[in-house]
Amino acid sequence: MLFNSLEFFIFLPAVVLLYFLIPHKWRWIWLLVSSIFFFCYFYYSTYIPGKVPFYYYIFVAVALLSVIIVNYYIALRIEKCRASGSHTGSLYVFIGVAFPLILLFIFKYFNFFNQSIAQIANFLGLRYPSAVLNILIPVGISYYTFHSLSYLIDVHRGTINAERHLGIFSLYMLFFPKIVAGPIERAKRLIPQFYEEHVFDYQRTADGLKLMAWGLFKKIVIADRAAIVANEVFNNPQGYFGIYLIIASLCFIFQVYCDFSGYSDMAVGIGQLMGFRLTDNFKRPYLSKSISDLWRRWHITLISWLRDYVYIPMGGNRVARWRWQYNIMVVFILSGIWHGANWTFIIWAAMNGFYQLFSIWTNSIRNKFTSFIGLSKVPKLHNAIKIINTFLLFTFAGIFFRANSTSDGWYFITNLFTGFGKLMKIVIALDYEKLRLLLVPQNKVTFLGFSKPAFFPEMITLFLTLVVWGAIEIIQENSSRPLRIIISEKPWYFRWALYFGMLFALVFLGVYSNQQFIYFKF
Amino acid sequence: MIRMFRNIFICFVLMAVSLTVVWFAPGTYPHDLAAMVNKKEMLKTRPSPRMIFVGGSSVLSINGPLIEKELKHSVINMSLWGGMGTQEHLDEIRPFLRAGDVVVITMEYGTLLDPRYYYYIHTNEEAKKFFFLMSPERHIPEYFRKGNYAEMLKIMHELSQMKVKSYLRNIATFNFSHLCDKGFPNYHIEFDANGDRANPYMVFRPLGDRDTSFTYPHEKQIFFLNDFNDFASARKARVFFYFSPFPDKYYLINEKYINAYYEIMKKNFKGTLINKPSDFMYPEEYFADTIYHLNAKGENIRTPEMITMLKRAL
Repeated sequence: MLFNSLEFFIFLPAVVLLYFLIPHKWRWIWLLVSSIFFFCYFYYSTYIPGKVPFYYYIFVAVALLSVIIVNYYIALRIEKCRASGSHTGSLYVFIGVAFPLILLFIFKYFNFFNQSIAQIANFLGLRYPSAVLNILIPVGISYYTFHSLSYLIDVHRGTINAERHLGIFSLYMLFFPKIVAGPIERAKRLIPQFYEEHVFDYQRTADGLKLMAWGLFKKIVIADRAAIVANEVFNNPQGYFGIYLIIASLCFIFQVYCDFSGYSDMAVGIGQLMGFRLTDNFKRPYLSKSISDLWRRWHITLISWLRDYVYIPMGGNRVARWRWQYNIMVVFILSGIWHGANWTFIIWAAMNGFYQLFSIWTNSIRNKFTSFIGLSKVPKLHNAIKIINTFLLFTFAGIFFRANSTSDGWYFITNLFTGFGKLMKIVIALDYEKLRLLLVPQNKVTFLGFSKPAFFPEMITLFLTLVVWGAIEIIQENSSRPLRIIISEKPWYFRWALYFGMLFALVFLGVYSNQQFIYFKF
Repeated sequence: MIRMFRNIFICFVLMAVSLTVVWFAPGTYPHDLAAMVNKKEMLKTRPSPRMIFVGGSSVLSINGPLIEKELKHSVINMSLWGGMGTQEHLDEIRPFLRAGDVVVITMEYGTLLDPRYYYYIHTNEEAKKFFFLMSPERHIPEYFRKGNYAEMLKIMHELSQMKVKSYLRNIATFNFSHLCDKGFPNYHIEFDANGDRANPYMVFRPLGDRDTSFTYPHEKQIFFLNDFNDFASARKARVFFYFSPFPDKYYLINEKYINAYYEIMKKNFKGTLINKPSDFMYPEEYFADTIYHLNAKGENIRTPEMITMLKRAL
């Protein structure tokens, strides 16, 4: 079930209403049943008879159930070993960590590795039977695997106690607002909340609904509109030249942020309706002043997961300089692999890792240079340049994130500026007719994914909504108080005008094509 | 919780009111098919005697002023796109038929002989939306009668969305003088006073043939034409039918199917057939971008020939 589907807008009120109507001791059962329904409905709505055999779905269900049960029992064992001082705890941790990782490898990475080995073998002239495992990648597998790993490691470290209630533990793994695309919640933060008795609170519910509306705005008004242009060009990059490749790259970078942060806002908002506090996954990353700053604000729950369970155990920055840089690169490459079994994700992550290392290497030179040209004396301009620079670097790397293949990504980056000379000549000559003939393909009824008459209004809509979104991000960035508090202090007519504007935009400017969220496939 | 429900209810009411206001407010729809709204105006206003052309985009390039001059009829070119469906198109025209009108129909070969295209036309949601926009007063009671409230609301919502985006475009470009126009925003640039294309189709090669794969037609596919003819006769209007222009190369490939189509029309059609398929078979150089669109050179041949045929039939 998608958060932006009609079914969900029937499902959610029913879940929330009944949640508050039933006694606290039964609520976990209701949430668990709802979460299982939510998860199953997702498969039901995407099931195409004949295309994927039904037993694949059984595999998916069994995999998820086995991860829950194995983790539950192993965590109890680990805790017992910890209490008794037995060393077999480490063996249990190994089994508990290996089990979901093996499943993740089989479902998500086996084909990728197998085909990569086959390509290398082919290159070396060796024979390698590269059979493709025809399986369905379970929705949310990367998320629930990371949930289960952090839980086991935390139990082993003694940060948390093993959960004794199988139902609550299952709910921790399956809780519907975060099962398919995060946020990756730590057990320490989420499990105690299932024991808390939540009462209906008007202000909290209203804030949750507003956050959901804002998330939905980012998803259906901005991301899904930008996606039309990005999909058109990224699916056929060879059919376009420079300016279009740049437009598509920009559209994609706004799409991916608005799509994922929109989903995360909705997830947090849904949790809030029932009194749960989920972790914010984004903190205005496109206003970051450096790549390392951006990665502290982007997909926060994944990056903090990698920091706590990979980077710090590897020594973090408290090791030799080369080792520290090695650790950074490993974490970035892992985040790329986490996103998907494709070289494009690995290249994207490696580029981001390289940016970070490059910024470390050039830090003192850059500081001297900015002092020399006097830029450091104008901090606002300096910050603006840093923000734009960071955004452009991230956009450039983002080409590989979206490209369908490494060759497409390569085509993109090597053709970003083709045709600019011709374009500039026409622009300087102010020859509108020539410009139109150059930019608008005459033998097609569509233009960048839209019908020709719809293109301009759609682009203006995208631009205006991006301006609104950008303004709100800047206000939030520069304010010490949350925006909802600032709004709540305004007169009622001002608030209602804002709410009306938001609803109007959702109803009249939303793209209602039930597009999936990008991060569902991870 | 009551406060919450009250506020949610207020939001619903606000959106329902907004939808109603946007629906009734004047505005344009950035979609080619919205030109039907502008074309409908001609049906209401052009003086009799009238010659109403109905067909696909192949008819758009005819020389309406020349036909008007030669035949002394006001020409109303209602054609837009074959994919909209001739039957549905004729249904929209019915209420505006006057005594003495001549309705000249064509059904491009693909719309009848290509089963995939035929299926597409009769399940075409886009066309349905714009026929709704053309005459909501006719369609709304129909939806109510069938109980298709959700579908009706969906169409109204989608059309209102287009209108809002058109407003945004006009406001952002300071185009306030066109804020309250109707129908298709570029209508006066792309079409002339008769509803013909203002400019000829541009020439592109290879010629687009949309993977044409023809089969034999069925006579029941044209029954609606007789139905319309009966209706027109009752109103003292006449119905003519002609076979569209087609490249001779493609004609030869599909000759048996096209001839079968001609035979069915000859045998069953109660109106007047003004030509044979072979009359409008032209070499490929007369075509613009697809096998249905004539270029300026082709049109300079087709319109006079059609005038001769129409004169004969009149």
